Amino acid sequence: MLSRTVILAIVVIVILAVGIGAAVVLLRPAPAASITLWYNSTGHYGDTEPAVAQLIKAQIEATGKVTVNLQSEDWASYRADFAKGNLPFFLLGWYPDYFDTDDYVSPFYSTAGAQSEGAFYTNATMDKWITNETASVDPTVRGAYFQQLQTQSAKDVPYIPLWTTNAHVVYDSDITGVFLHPVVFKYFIMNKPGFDHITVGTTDSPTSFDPALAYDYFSTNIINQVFDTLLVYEPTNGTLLPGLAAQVPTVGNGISADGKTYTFQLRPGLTFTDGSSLNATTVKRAIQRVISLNLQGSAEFLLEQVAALGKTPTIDTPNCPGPCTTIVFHLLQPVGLFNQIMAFSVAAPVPWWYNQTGAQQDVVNGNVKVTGDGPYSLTSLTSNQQYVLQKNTNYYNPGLYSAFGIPTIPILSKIIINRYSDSSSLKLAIQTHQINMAYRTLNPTDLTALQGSAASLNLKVDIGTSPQIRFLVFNVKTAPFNDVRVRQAIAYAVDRSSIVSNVFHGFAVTLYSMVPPGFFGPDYSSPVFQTAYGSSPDVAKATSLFSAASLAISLSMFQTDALERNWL
Amino acid sequence: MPKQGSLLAYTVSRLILALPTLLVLLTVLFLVLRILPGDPISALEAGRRSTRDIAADKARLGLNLPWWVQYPVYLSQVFSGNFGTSLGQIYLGQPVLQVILQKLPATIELATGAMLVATLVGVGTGIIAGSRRDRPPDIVVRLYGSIIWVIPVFWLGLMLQLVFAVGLHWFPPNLRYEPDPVFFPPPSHLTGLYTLDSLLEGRIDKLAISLAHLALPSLTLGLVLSGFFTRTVRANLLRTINSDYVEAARARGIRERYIVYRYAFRNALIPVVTILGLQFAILFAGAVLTERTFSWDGMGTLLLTSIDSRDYPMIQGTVIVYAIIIVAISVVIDVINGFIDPRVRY
Repeated sequence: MLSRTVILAIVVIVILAVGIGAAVVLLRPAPAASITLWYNSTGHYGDTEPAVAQLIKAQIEATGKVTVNLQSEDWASYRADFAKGNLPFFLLGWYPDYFDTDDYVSPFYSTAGAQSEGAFYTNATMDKWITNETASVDPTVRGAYFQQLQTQSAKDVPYIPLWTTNAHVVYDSDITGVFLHPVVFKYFIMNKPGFDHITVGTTDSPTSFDPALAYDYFSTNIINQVFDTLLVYEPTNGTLLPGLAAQVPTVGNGISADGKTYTFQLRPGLTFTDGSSLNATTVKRAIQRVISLNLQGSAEFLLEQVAALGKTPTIDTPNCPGPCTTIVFHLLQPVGLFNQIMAFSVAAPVPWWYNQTGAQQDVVNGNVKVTGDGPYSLTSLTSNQQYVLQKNTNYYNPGLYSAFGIPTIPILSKIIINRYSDSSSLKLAIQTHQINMAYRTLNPTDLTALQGSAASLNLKVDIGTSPQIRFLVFNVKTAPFNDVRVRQAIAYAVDRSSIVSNVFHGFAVTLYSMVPPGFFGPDYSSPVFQTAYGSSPDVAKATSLFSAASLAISLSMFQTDALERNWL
Repeated sequence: MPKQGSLLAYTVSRLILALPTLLVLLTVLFLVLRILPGDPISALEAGRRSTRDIAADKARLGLNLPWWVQYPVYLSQVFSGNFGTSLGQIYLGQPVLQVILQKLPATIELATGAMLVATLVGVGTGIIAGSRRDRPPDIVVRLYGSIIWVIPVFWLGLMLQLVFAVGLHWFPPNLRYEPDPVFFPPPSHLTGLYTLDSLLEGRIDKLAISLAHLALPSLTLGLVLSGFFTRTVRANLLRTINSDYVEAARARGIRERYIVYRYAFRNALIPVVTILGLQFAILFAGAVLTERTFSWDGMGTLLLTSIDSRDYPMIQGTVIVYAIIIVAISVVIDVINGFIDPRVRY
């Protein structure tokens, strides 16, 4: 009798359990569609990245239409994956290669550029506009193309510009001449009264100090102290000045009418610090060397492709032998930004003896083999540990900035740069006065703390603008992001101000176009995302766009989370 | 004589056994690196160069070949002592072995300092606890042993930096030497060990600077490792103190202090020597984090940056050097064990 009751009870319990289970499964609300936002987890963009991803997730989820999964990878995997098209929606950043507006446009909106950014966006009209703006040297013509490009970019939304990072430097308050230049951080205009040298701390790691290979901020910045280029920058902005060349070529005076021939006149009697001569053939050989070596990871493509010098550049040196000061570049097509590229480190002349079959090793048998012609020489280096710059006493142009109130450069005899492993180590070093200057990179929390204690520590904290931009990328070939309404909905949903204030404590600036405002020459930037989507999030519009695109999202919700990889 | 012969045979057998250990490690390392998403060329170029250029660069290095084609090439290179050249951003094109030899002394210096701290603190506290079972010193030490063992090494490092460098200014916060070579020229490079080089140069001031810089990292890593020593020494001391032969010594009226140090402690140390070998592996792992916390430019920092850039040759070289060191230490400790405790040999 008892066992029968027990059996009955078990049967009832089982029926109830099955019933409740079925009700839960069948009566639950329809699941919101889900998308995945990827970010780098290993600090490539500092330790703020997870917080940024969390905020964007919350902003998109505020529409109530989609849930956002966050996924992260280390930087090497991330790079490989987005380039292969494996990441459908992700955070990325860009630091320009050359200082022209084109470098914020063609890497993103040209078909080839968008492919390497992992967006796979293609628009024939955009490609045509880019070709046209590249070919022109006329600011009005270029301005019109840049406006069209930006306006279209806000309609197609393969990227959503979010913010520009701030540049920052913390230093002893008695150091003068510190300026956060958008291109080159110039040690040779700094001074510390009573001292002939300063020690600097950095978290940056260099690649190489061979101009044919270097393509990262730290290396190219050191190269800019050790090597001069044909053209150089003014002390505080991106305007070009004559460097090794006696003047900046202009149309009719160095630039041919068709924009395909550039002629530079070198200053006479130039030498490298080892005494070897620097003339037109040295410049020609250096440019040819970069292109023929085509070292992996280098900026060779800037000369070959962007500057349209081609695989076998045609460069004339009409007055060699002899004074050997004239150099004529024949381009495959007109390139309006050729002068800018001649100011980039990849175009810096190197001595005749530099390795012609590979990168020049920085140290050979314990001797530093980095030989330039700039205000400083690199006299000692321990890879990834310490770099010592020493005054070049034979610098050819000490009066370079005399018109700007700096009678002679370089001022300090030595600059000693030490490498620290992370932001907190760098902060400790400047806080305890182990070093005189911390230049790149302190995180916003450390920066805020140092700002608070700067006066008592006798430090100065300078905040400037940086040409680095941060943005979201959509792989426009992957559902649901192949639906422009989904991309536009997210453009309505993101709140840039919230990211800037909550994550960066104000050490960043909101950005409404992939072209940041006011950096180089004429300002072609137009805040097209502000015009199209407003300066604060519009949740209602985002929600209705998501609803309109809901079919596309729900169909793809099971596809976007899985990453396919070719193991092994 | 037969005893010595068997020790030799034992040593040889340990060395022979070390070879397959290395081979397994090399294989696992090779496979893990290829399974990991990402590759050195993408890490260097993706997002900056065209997909076609990236594919061409991979092909040039043979990275597009299937793993079973790359594997024999890799093994033959490793066994012929050719570690290749770096593919990572920082050391691109530099011979792997040359870079490793440049960074190794920093890690050896840190490891030695840490082992010294760990042994002194660990054995010292272990004896205090073991010889005063369940009395207040024992309870304090047991608590210390447990807490210190679970503290993350980087957190302890940061705390020591805050207290002793920022707060008290007793020690420099990080780096191996003063960052200003004009005011404080570093010792000339003879062995790469700053402390030893200062001594060889006969400069006490440079030795003082080197030691001041070595203090906090050694203390950090050493303290974390000392927890394990504390607990092992205590447990073994308790075991030997309660053994029959110690009881017999007590029965003979020998003083307790003498019993602890002369009879119990020496026998309690035998298992400690055994775990010493294992501790070295943990030590090197801890050194990676300690080096990062203190901007100590050694093998750990090198390994981290190499993994970041998927620098296959450099990761392989670094891990192989680590493995050789650990295997060598294990063999030496096995042999020492075989010498002091003949039972091990049979």
